[in-house]
Amino acid sequence: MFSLSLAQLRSQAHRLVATAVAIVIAVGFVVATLVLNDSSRQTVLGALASQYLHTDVVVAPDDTGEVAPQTLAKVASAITGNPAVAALTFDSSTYVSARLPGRAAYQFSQVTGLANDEVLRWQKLEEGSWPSEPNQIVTAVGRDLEVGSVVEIRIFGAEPGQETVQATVVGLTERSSDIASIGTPLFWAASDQARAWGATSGGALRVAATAGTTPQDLALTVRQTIQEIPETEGLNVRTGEQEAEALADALTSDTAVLANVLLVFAAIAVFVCALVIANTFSVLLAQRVRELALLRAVGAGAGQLRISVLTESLAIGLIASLLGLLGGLGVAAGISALAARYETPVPLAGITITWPPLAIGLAVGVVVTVIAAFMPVWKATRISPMAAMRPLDDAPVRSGGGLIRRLLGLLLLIPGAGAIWWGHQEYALHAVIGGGMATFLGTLLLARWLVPLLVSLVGRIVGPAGQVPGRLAALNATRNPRRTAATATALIVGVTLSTTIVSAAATVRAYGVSEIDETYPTDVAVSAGQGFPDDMLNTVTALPHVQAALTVTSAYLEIGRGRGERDSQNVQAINPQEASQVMRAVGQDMPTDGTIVFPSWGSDEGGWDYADGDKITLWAGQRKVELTVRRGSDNLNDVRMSRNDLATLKTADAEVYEIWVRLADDLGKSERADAVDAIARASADADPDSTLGGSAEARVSADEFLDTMLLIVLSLLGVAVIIAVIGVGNTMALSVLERRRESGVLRALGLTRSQLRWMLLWEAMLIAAVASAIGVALGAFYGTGAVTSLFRLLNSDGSDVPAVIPVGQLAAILIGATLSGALASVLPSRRAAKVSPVEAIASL
Amino acid sequence: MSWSSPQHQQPGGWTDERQPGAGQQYRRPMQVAVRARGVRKIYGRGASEVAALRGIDVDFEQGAFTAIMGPSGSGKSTLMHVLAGLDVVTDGQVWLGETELTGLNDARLTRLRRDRIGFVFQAFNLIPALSAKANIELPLTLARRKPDQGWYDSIVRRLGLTERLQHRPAELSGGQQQRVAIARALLPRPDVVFADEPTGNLDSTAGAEVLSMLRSSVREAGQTVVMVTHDPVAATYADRVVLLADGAVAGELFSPTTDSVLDALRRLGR
Ligand SMILES: Nc1ncnc2c1ncn2[C@@H]1O[C@H](COP(=O)(O)OP(=O)(O)O)[C@@H](O)[C@H]1O
Ligand SMILES: [Mg+2]
Repeated sequence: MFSLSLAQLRSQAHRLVATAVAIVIAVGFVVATLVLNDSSRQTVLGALASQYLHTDVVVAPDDTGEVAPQTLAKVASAITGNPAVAALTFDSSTYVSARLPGRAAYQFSQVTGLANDEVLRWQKLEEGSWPSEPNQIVTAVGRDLEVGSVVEIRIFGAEPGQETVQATVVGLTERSSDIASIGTPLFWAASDQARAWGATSGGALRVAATAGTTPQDLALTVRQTIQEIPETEGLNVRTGEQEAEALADALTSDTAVLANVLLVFAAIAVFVCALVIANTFSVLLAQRVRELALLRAVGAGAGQLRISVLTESLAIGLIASLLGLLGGLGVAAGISALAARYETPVPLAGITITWPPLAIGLAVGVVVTVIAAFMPVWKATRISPMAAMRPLDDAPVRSGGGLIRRLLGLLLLIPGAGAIWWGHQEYALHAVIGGGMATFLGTLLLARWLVPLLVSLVGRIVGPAGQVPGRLAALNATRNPRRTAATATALIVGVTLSTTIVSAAATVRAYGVSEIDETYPTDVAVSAGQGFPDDMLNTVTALPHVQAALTVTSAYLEIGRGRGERDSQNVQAINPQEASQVMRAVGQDMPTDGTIVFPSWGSDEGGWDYADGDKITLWAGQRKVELTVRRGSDNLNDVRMSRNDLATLKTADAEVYEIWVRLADDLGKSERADAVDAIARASADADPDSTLGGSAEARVSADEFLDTMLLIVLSLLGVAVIIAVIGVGNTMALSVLERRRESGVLRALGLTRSQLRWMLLWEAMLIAAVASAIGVALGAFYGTGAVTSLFRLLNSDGSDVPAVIPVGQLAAILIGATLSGALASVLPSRRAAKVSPVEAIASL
Repeated sequence: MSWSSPQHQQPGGWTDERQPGAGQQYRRPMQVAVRARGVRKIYGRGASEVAALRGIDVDFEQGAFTAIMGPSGSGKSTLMHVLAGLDVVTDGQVWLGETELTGLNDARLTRLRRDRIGFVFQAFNLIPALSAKANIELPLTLARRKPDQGWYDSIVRRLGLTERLQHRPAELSGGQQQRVAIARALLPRPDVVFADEPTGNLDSTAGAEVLSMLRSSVREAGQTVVMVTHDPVAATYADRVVLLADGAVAGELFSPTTDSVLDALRRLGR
């Protein structure tokens, strides 16, 4: 029996190529994901381990972090002098604002003290020297800094006159030394210097053991010492190795989340692959019905046949999975090599190959193949030996057990749809998600009935365009409902998921852009320090890439209700007409003529007790104006009124407080930086103490983030769609083989070669079009539904986000998937058309 | 297996025109429907070369029912394929009426088959996805021609398919399927109907029915039919038998009887 399996495999090898490709892709995906996850963790762990190479014990506050700084100092003095302790140091650090050379803006940065003791100083110097004098710092390579660069550092809470320091970079460490500082720049200074800039020793205490003392012994000693000191319950004593692992866990938990997300996509790819495999085997076995029956007739047991055919699937699964392993490793290595050259959110250097990912990949490939092959094998081997005796009939396959399937499908679909609707009304996201899954499963179950129905419907509508071949194609596509539906199902899954993401993204995007505009309404805001000259607005407006600008003036006014008490209040005045041109979103915080806007928090925190709609009066000397109160959003910190109302007061002490700038849209990254720099320079010239704010960068990066995420997710789902399209091609190839004789008859009766090709293309396109149409419809519904339900839940006021259906993109998916289906069937149909009618008729 | 002889067989279903007598010949001015001259067909190359046809000269008369007979492997099917434009010859010429087939390209051969030739195969070869009616109309549909309704009705009636038109091939018996195939071949009024072992998959009753119908289409409608068979009884339905042996014409018989055919075959197989 085993030799029979091998002989079958050899003679059918070419028919299994597409299946193998599907398995290779799916397994490769799984393996690459797992290997990259491992590699990322190893990269981080390796870098961290080097930081704790000579640190034998770390004493640090546990997660609750409730330990007074003096306690650590007490611990230090208690263990100093212990014969097991060779050296100790505090990890101390602080935050500063730093301005890199050539930059206009300050950046939030971290300064950490270097250990005085050489043994505990773990940073690896690559260039230059360690700090030896005041105002010297060291940083890691790759931050656009060189030895000799000068960084301007602003110290928080420093004595007046000593806030700004010019620090010189005297050395550069290896890139891996600042692995823990993803995002914020990190500088190292001598520990005294760091303390002078505000570093506290609250972080951790590192201890080195004397020669002959193991880290474990030292940890024991330290623990015993600590027990005698009061208030040390919140301190953890760990060996350096344990600490490195704990840190790596914390650092890579984000990576782990990412890996989980990736694995979800891998699971989808595997699922689609399983559908393709199951389909291939059912077609292959259908072609071998006679042969199987013959074997039964000559005495093979059904079990023997089953084992024989399953052996085939095992072999193909094994071979393809091994290829998938190699492919996955190759992809992982490629991505890692690429990532090493850029600053990526996931640290990667080289790849780490361990057994589990390989074993999992192999197991997934083999098990999925065998399981997917099992149902078709089971059905095919239940054949009676009599089948071999009967003449080969071309009976169209009627799907058995269709009723149960249909019932089950409807049982999932209808309550599922109900759950979605109810969940949407009642703010129950779980119901929406559960309903979504149920309806999807229901649709897949109904596919065997729905797809042929739609195919014949569509075939009838567009049939005339396809002439005779088109009509034949529609008939052929519906003649084996099971096969057609299985082919379609693989594509439905891929297209539904892609469309879900695309339409969810479109809705999020439309909402996100307005949200981003609301969160970051002003591109650049320049705040005056000592005061701006009168023509400052003109100066700024004339700068390149500036589209519009306005001034915010501020004045002290007396406010109060009617005759009662008056308070002095700083009020900012904005011209509402100008605001609508300069700001990207004019929200509830913008005053109109006749209103005054107060922060929402005022009433609770003892500022003002004015409510929405109250009338209050503002005085400047003798003049007064009556305004209506409006409460603004949580983000508002100032009291705002219209410039026109302020003008009626003709107050003398109003001065320019801020200048708000809107940059031109669609600026490139460097253009935007240039524009911000120019504004910074101009305002520094006019007022050295002026500061720059605004959200041009944040706005753009929020925008880009959305685009990047969408692209990544879509390319991941693309893998599933590619597998599904391979499946369409595969099914076409197999059904072409199956219909070889029929094609010959049609050719004999006068169907030309190109008509035959056209017929098969048309058939593939019909199936692909119907599958993608179902997928697109479901996906658009899921995508917009999920996002609107989610936002209903998130928006405190339960307001709705308008669903956006990206018609253009959906049409592109529909057409793209349909054409891919056609493309996938080009080769099979060419092969079919090449066969001469005689050969085809003769191949009984 | 034995065929009931045509003498005892009532041609069923044909309602109009005369009842043809057994063995009765229709004599018309001899016109040739298909002509082969020096036809050779060689399969393979070098050591594996097989000469299936080695120089065939034969004419098939219009309005006649001709059977091609010979031992297995003598080249009957190959001859039929090249005569019908399904396959190309290695050497020699084939004419269909005035048209020379040899030298035509695939597209023109395809069109010629569609418009001027009908086929009946051993394995029925109906399109499973199509109903009997759609199968019958298929060649005309491919040619985008409308069937002549009167002719269609009379064929369907004579073949006893009136009740079966909406059925799929899988729902029909073997004999019924072969009758559908005959209707498909006859409907476009082709110049020639080629039938390769049309009774090979049928029991004797169904086979006799099919043969009678082929014969009456010749007698009553003047259809030209060329049938390949290895069955002597089947051959007696024909007006003439062309005998093949080793890829060459080995003789012919007119007004064949079971005995004369058996005799001729025995002499071939000596
Ligand atoms: N496609 C082919 N390739 C090689 N040899 C063939 C092919 N078709 C037929 N033959 C050979 O040609 C000869 C005639 O075959 P065929 O016409 O099928 O005979 P018949 O129909 O009389 O049994 C046989 O020897 C057969 O083996
Ligand atoms: Mg033959």
